[in-house]
Amino acid sequence: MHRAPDHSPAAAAAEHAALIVAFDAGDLAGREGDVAATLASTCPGCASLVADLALLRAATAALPARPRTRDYRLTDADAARLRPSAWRRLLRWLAAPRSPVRPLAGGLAALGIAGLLLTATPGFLGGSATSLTTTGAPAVAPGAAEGAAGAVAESALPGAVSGNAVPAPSAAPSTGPVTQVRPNVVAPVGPLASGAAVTSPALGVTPATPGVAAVPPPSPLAVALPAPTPPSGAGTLTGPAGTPMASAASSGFSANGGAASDSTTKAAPPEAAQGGRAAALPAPAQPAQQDRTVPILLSLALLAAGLGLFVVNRALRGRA
Amino acid sequence: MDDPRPRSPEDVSRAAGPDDATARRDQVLVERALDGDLGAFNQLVEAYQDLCHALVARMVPDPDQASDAVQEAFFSAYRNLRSYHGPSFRGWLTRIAINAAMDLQRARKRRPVTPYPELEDEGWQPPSGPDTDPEAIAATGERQRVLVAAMGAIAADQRAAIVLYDVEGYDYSEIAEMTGVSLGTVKSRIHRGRLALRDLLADRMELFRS
Repeated sequence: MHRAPDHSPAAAAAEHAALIVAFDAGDLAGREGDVAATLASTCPGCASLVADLALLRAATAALPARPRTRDYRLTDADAARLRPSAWRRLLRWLAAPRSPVRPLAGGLAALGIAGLLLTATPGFLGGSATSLTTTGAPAVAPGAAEGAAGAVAESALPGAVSGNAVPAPSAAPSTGPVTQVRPNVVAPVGPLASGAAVTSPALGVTPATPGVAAVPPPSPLAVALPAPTPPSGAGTLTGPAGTPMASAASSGFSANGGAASDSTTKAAPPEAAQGGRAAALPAPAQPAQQDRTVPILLSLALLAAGLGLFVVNRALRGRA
Repeated sequence: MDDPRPRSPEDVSRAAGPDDATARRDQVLVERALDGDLGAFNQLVEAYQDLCHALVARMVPDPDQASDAVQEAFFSAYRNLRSYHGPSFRGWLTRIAINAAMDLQRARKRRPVTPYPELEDEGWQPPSGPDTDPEAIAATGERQRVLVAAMGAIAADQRAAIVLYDVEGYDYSEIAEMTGVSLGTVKSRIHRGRLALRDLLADRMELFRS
C-alpha cells in the first residue's frame, strides 16, 4: 500500500537532522552535500546541531575508560581447560571453512549416487557376461554358457571320440570360442567324460590322485557335477610324453578367465547335464536381485555419509 | 646464513620499526604459545589487556560484565590461537573482544542489568586528569557522567560503532569488517547513535559548551 509522504514539521526536522549528521561526518557529497551545507548555514537549528555534534564527538573521544580491575592472564588450570581436545579438534576440522570436508562430502555423495544409478541399471552386474550368484561364484550368462559347455565338450572330445590315447593337445581347443554345445558328443564318452575324475590307462592317462581315481565311473552327468576340489596337479591329463594336458573341465580353470569352466563344474545343476545348454544357464533373476543389495547398501551408505558430513559442516559453521 | 638460535620477542622488537617490531614480537609469542608456552600467551595478554578492557568497558555498561567479556575474549583467543594467521594480532584480538562484547550485549537484552552502577554511586568520580581546578574537575566529572549515562542508553550496536569510530579511531571499513556488517550499516549506526546522544543530552549541552 502506498504511503503518502509525511510533510509534517517533525518529519522535515528529522530529515534535516539526518542530512546534517551525515554532512557533519563527511559522508555527503554532490547535491545532498550542497543541500546540507545550505541548511547548516541558513537554519539556526541545523547550525546548532552541527555544533553540538562536534562537542559530543570531542567529549566521546575524551571519555576515560574505567580502570581495569582484573588481571586477565590465564592460569594453568584455564589453559588445561581450554586446550582443544580431540573431539573439539574434530569439530573444528568439520566446521572449518577451508577444510576438505565439503569436497569429501561431495565426493562421497557423488559416489553414492553413481553407485545407486549403476545398480539400478539393468545391465549392471551380469547383464552382459556374468553375474554373481548367491554363493559368490560367477553364474554364466547364456552366451558364455554355450562357450563353457563347448569348452568342456572340446576338452573331453579327443579321447572320447576316438577312444584312443590322444597326443596331448594344447589347452587351446578348450579355450577356443566354441559356441555350440554338443551334449550328444559328451554323452558317449562315458567314463572319460570327466577329465578331472576319470582316467584310463588305456588312454595313457594316469590317475591324478587315488581319491580322484576312486570316483566311480560317472555317467555323462559327470560333466555337470560339481568337481571335488582338486589338489595341486589333479585332473591334469598327461599325454604319452607326460606332457601336461591342461583340461579346462578338470582343472576348473580355463584360459578365458575361468568363469565359464568354474560355473560349469560348480554352479550348474546336475540335471542340467541332460542338456548342455541347460547346464550352463544362469540362475533365475532372484539371486541377481539379492546380489544388488550389497552395492545398493554401499551406495546408500556413501550417500548418507556425504550428506551427513555436509549437514554437520553447515550446522557447525552456522553455529560458529 | 640464518641464526639457529631462538630469538626472544625483545630481540625481534629491537630489530625492526615500532609497528613491524610489535607485529613480529606478537608472531614470535604466538608461535611459542602454540608450542604450549602459556607464559608466551600471557605476555600477549599483558600487552593487550588494557586496550581490550578499555574498548570493551566503553561498549558494555556493566563493569563486571565488561570484565567477563574481556576474560572470555582472551579465553577465546587462546582456544582459537591456531586460527590466527596474521598479519596483526592486535586487530585479531580486538575483533574477538568486540564479538565478545556484542555477544554480551545480546545476552544483556535478555537479562537486563543496571547500566553503569557507578552512576548510582554519588561517591564515584571519573579518573582525574591533569586539571587540578576543583571546579573544572567537577564540571568534567559531571560531563563525563552524563555522557556515559547517555552512551549506556543508546542501542548497543550504535554504541559499539561510535566507540570504535570516535574513541578507537577505526575507519568505516575496519568497523564493517570487525562487526560483520556493511559499510552503509556502519555509517547509519554512527549517524543514528550521534543523533540519539544529542537528543538524550539536549537539555545538558551547556555542560559541554562551557
